[in-house]
Amino acid sequence: MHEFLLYSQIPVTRHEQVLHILAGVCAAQPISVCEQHLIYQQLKVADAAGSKKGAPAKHQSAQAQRQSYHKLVREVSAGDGEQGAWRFRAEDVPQPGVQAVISRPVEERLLDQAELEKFREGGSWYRYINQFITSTQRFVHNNVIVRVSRILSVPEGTGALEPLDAPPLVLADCRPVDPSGSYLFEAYVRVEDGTNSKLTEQAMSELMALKSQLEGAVDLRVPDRLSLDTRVKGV
Amino acid sequence: MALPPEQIRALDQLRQRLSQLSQSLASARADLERSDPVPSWPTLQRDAELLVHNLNRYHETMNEHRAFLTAAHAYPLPTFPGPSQEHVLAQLMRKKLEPKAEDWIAASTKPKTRDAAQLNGLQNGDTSRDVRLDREEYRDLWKWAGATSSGIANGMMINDAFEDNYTLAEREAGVENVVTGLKRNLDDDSDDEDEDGEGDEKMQEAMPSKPAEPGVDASRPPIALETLLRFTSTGTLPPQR
Repeated sequence: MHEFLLYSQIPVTRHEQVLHILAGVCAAQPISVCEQHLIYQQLKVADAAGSKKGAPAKHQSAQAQRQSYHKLVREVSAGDGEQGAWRFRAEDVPQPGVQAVISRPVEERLLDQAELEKFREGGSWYRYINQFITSTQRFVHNNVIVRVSRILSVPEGTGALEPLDAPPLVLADCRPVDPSGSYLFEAYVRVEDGTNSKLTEQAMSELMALKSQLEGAVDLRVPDRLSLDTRVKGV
Repeated sequence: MALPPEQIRALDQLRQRLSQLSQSLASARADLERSDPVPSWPTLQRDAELLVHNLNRYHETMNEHRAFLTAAHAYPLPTFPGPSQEHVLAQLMRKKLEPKAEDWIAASTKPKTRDAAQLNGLQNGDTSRDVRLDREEYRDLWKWAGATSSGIANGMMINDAFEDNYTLAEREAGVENVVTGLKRNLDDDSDDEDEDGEGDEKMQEAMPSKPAEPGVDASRPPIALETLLRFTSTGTLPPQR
């Protein structure tokens, strides 16, 4: 899968307003999603990464040769502590040379129990790094998905034991990573086949159309490509 | 014997208009009869527009040459093949309209009777009498209708029904059941005067009030987007935080 993204930041004072604007643009109210993200560092790569990734197109990329950070993501509900299944998510380094948007291959799939074992403490595959919660308002405009989320850090020591088996988090204990409380604004289009130029062109044009439509209300921009670098440094 | 050229041109023009009109009528009719399913609304509308347009042009032409056309008389030349074209001849020589056409004109020009009104689903004030309305009765009807309707309208003005956010029918059925899509309480009689001053506050009150969020200090500068993204990608924050 391939993603095209644009970002922005919304100060807390403008959050409501931006939600209203988006509801107008998308002609629909947002859906609230709360997700827990666990960040893992790969300890082994090479063949293992290749077979895990399943998408043969990526084998040649430099990404596959290096250790990366991968994520486990699941939905959690704020109220009753209900939790969804873990999804594996691997984000590639954004492609260089694409200036207008962030363009990166992404792999995302559901994990079964056997694969989940690889992420457990003491395994030789992954090491737990950190986790965060996103509390998101999600809009959909044509094929563009817009997420306005606040990134919350979990209380100190939450992942110390076994993050996969940890009891449901109490959202009230989580604090915004950004002390000013600003929201992360992501607009993205996902394309199944990143090599299909017809699809990618349409994805780009829809994203740019939304960008120009929101101009003045939300200024979407392309962040530094390497801020989305998921490669493990210093190994 | 020969007509002046402009009169011939007038007749020719009229003939053209009539043939256009009859063509568009025929094609509209054929459309309706043959096409299955029934033609779409836009198609029907286009047909109707075309018909009206052709009728108008025909009407214009008739009006333009009214003097000549009313004075003109048809008479057969000796060379006209009377015996073989007797039907055409009879039609051309006819001064009166055909009985069918006359009936049709009478039916569509007479004022609506009760039956006709009911057929059309019209229920206006004075259809209870089943006699045909004459001019005098029409005048009475309009006199009555004007006064009555303005009376009703005045009553609504006094009740502020036009200013109301709900229709009278909605009021009668109960305002609670009206789906407006708004969560704001519209049924507030006092909001006419202070529209400017208090309106904004009311909007804000009606919005889901946010509880004071712990750990949020809006006065602090936001951390850079890049830093935030680096955190979501690698799980580490720079130490200078």
